[in-house]
Amino acid sequence: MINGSKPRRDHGAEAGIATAGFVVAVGFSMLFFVLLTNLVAVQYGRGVVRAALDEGARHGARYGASGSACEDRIREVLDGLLGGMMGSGVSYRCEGDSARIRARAEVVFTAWLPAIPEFQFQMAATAAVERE
Amino acid sequence: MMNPELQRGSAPIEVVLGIGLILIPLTLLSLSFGAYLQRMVFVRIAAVEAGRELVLSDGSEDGVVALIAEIARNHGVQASEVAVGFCGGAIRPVTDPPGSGCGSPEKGKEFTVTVTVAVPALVTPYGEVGNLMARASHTEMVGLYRSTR
Repeated sequence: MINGSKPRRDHGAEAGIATAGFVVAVGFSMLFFVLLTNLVAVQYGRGVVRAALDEGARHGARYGASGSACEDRIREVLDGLLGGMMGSGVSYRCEGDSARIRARAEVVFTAWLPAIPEFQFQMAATAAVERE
Repeated sequence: MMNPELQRGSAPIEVVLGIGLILIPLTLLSLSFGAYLQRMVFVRIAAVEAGRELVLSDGSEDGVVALIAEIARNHGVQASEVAVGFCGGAIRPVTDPPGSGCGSPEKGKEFTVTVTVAVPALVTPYGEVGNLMARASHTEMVGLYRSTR
């Protein structure tokens, strides 16, 4: 610096289009955010299915419970906590004998992004049947 | 004003160290935490159901052990990793014959079942490292007006 004059920079060497890069970066960030949110939603769905199966098996294991008590209870829990498209991806059934009630579910959650495969898993719950 | 010479560094080295010493360990810890929570849910459910079964089956520990093994399968846990103890007695693997701990069921008597399961301390893409223990107990009372054998 001489006599207080500011150094001059050559802006020509730094020229570029910030908008295109910014849009691409934000776009990929949003895709990544949607993917993470999808994973969180799937984890929530797993928790709901687990709770529904446990509730259903326990409900169907009561003394004198009707044959459909287990599946009715599972449907109630799913209707309350997992409606819409995620809820429609859950199929379940109950079976049992004089000692145990078993509830099983097969779950297919559709991914929110087109290139991601579906989330598929199975779950089961068992409860001891109340006897006299 | 600081001397710019003192602030010089190597960005590639710092990035590699940052990923290796901070990002990867944090990721592995996060993965391990999920497995721990999953096993905690399992032992909680297993202990509650085992307590119910012990009361309902009038103190039959064989039935309880079979039920815990089935619940373990439901949760994707190997039965050999699960152990159970009755009424403060020794905690044994469910694959071993159960030891008598609670005695005969009497109205109003409380039965306590303790279930433990091994939890991997650290989950890595190359396998599990170390072991922790998740543990849950549940106490169930034989009904006062229940008919017992």
